[in-house]
Amino acid sequence: MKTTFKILALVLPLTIGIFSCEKDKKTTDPVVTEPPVTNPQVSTGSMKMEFNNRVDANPLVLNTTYTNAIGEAYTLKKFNYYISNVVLIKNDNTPVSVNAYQIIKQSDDTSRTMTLKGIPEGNYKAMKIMLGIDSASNRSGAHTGGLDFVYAADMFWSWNQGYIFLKAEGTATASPSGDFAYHIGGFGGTYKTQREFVFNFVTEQIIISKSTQPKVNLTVNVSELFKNPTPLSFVTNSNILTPGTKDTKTVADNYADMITFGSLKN
Amino acid sequence: MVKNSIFCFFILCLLISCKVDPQIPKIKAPLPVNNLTQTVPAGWPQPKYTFEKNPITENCFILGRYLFYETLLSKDNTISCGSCHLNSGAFSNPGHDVSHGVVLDGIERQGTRNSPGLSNLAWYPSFMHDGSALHIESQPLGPLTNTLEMAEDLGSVIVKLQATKKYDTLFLKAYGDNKVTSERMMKSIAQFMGLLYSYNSKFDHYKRKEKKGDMSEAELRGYTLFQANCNSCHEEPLFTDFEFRNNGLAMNPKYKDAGREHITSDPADRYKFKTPSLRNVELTFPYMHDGTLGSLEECLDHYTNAKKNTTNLDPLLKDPLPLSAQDKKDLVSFLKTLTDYSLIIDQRFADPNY
Repeated sequence: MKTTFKILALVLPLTIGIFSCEKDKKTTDPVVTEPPVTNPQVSTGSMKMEFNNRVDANPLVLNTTYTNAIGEAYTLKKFNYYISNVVLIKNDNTPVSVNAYQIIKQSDDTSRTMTLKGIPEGNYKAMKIMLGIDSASNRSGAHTGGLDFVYAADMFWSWNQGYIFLKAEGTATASPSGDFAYHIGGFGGTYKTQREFVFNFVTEQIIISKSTQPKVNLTVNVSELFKNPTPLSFVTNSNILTPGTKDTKTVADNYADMITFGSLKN
Repeated sequence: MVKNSIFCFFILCLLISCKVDPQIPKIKAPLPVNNLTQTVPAGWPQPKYTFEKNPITENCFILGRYLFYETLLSKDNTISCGSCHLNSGAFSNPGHDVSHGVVLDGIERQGTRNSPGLSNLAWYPSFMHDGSALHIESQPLGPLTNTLEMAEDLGSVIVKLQATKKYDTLFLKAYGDNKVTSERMMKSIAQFMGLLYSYNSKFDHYKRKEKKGDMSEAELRGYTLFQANCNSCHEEPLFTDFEFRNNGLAMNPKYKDAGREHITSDPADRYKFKTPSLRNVELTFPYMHDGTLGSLEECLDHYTNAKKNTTNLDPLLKDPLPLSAQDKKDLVSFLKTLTDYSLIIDQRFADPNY
């Protein structure tokens, strides 16, 4: 009897121990993130894209006075925009999409270079990028990375939900308040403000390989915000802050040719 | 001696068995969370949100439940989602016309809109009275950042949560590590909100020809009147068509709320608000987007009053509804059959801190 008790006394706590662990063990559930679509058979490489913000011939410097198309003086305190939907076009016209979302900020040097990874090796004759965020990603819930609500805190409207595609804020002597602010976004309908830019490299090609990292330099001319096709005056347009309006589309149509190809180095 | 060593061994075994998570503090209250699956009741449309990219698990749901009732989500750490969406009020705020927000600089902030009841949110194509949020996972950013409500920013919430042992444990259990991210926060809250179902009211039992579904004569008369007068906007089975309409309610000079026009910038949407669901409407008083009507009777009077003359008045309401005093009584009887006590008493949705 005593032996039985001793055995029980030994076995029982072990059993309890095992059971007490049970709950914690099964509580770890897999973290749900979207895996990058990569084919293990295909070897991949990476490349960089650098955004060089300029005001016509000069590099953009914050808090420096420039003049818009109709001769009004302004400075920029903030200049941010979202780049997404990068597509590389192979020589045989096959498009290759790269999953990347990044906010380019004039105030942050490192933000102006975008690294694109997981690109299948090969030669690419053209590339396409989007200023803004596609409609689906604007309405698809919570994300990590470039669409994370914390990363995008300054570039997301929570009162009229959707990402802000471009923010330009600064001073303008012609403005009634002395300041101006353009917050451009809106992802659907007549007044959507995403704009695509296509770069055909003509004589060159991006050569993606495991061992190299090509770099494409793009030029972003801030002046275009305020002109072509519609010259904007800070007298009447000092604040453009609401998505889905004619004014936001006007600015978007202006920035539709803001980004141009600069150079390519393989 | 033998007894002592047996006792020590016993304790040792328990200690070893718990060594897996030595730092996990005990979290208050047992959490009954079973039946965590998405249900589509017979005859209902398919839900918009299917949890496909946010698989429901007990621990994610529990995390979402804690977050829903977490006051750290507000600037002054006093307001949680549950502060204005009370379990007992079918997740509305009974008795409050508009939401009371944080107190900052000694001033209590007050929102401009009535806190609606929450249920069946997985079916919603848009959220908020003006449809400003298009996804259940991003919706909480609205009240969270609204300077009149919770007045907080997500980055600061993450810092606050990360500093607590409680959320260390909850995130670890839900996601395998203790990292607090916005995606994890929003997805787990979406699990909690998305599982707030309401399809077990007396009316639902009646429709399904179940035991508890015996409707009285007055309730049945009310249902017939409802189908003739109300159902074109408050469509079954969700009791809303999710459209934005102006129902003839005068613009409240206190808030000058333009409604849907805020979102679309279209003057044709001025003073339009989303048709609210009538599920649990008995408990979600006061009514209308600004909470100006205190009772169901007042709401019905609003619809039978003289011709309305508001901007963008809905064509369906251009004439007063032809309802007698008895009709209204019957309609109220019917509306009360939409109260789903199973939602209100469901312990899975109660504040886990009490």
